[in-house]
Amino acid sequence: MLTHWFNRDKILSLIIWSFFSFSVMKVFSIFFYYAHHIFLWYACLYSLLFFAYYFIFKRMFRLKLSYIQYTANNILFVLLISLFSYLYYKIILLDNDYFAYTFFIAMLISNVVFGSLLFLFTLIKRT
Amino acid sequence: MRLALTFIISSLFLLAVAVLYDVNYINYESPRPYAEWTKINFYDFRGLKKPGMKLQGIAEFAYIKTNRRIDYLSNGNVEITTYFYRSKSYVFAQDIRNPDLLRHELYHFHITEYFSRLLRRTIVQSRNQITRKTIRNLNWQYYTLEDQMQQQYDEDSDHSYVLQEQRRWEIKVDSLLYSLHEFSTPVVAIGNKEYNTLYLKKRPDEKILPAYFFNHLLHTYKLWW
Repeated sequence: MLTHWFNRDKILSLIIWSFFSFSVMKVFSIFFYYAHHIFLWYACLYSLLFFAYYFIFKRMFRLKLSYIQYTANNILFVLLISLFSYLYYKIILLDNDYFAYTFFIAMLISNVVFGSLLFLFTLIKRT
Repeated sequence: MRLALTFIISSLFLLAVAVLYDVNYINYESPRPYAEWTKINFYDFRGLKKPGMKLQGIAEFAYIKTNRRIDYLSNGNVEITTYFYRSKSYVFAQDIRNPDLLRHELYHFHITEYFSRLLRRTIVQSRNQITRKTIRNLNWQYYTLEDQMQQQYDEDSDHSYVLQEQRRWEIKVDSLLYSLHEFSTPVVAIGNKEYNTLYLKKRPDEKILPAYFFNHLLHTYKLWW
């Protein structure tokens, strides 16, 4: 069951989408630099990006995600974003630019909450 | 597969644009160590300012990126160097000729150097039980203190616009730097003979003292004039 939902192609598509979302958000932060430290902004935008992935996923694999699968993917998405951010910090930034671990923990929580709300809207629409 | 490749290429392109604003790799210059601080001018500020970026509603500002690097030398010594990152620092316009603004930015660099000297002193003082982990932790503690001081400096001087406060800070920072003059050498010799020759020397020649304060006097005089 687990391998059915998390096979190589699906994981790869999530990694690619996470990387794309991370790049989009980096460019976004150039033009909206003042929102850089407002994690709620970030969390909302990442949630929307993940929500977009939900539809891409449906189209690509002709599968619907249950709430549990959706949340598991959402958590994995934030973890991947955190990983890319950490790599970016290590490679491009300096140590006194700080890597805010708490920012990503807060983002994970709010992303799951906001993501769940978005998922709920799809259920309302269906009924 | 083609879709995945399109996404990867687009992501890399977007990331390249984003990196440009963190490090200007098109017009890259290596960081300058603190020993070369007198050579710094506005042409060294090679970074890119984010579009429409303002500082408290003012577009005429500069930003200096400083940091310190810790290198563990093969002979057991530690080298702590303060750097000014040219490709990460920016100014609102390259043709700017405002010496007060440059001076303000340079004092940010001096503050970083002050904390590097503090770190060197702490390492020397506890050289018998110092470990890399201790140095790393100390460095983080000093980063926090430095951030507070840098922010206070910007607040008090209003980013160089309040001249009197600017001069007060210059005197303060120069005095702090002078008080740790014996730790101005980047190499920290830990527990070997070199330590005695490098750090147990007397305070700097008295001739240096008026040189530091003459600078302050000049500026204070200029301010009052």
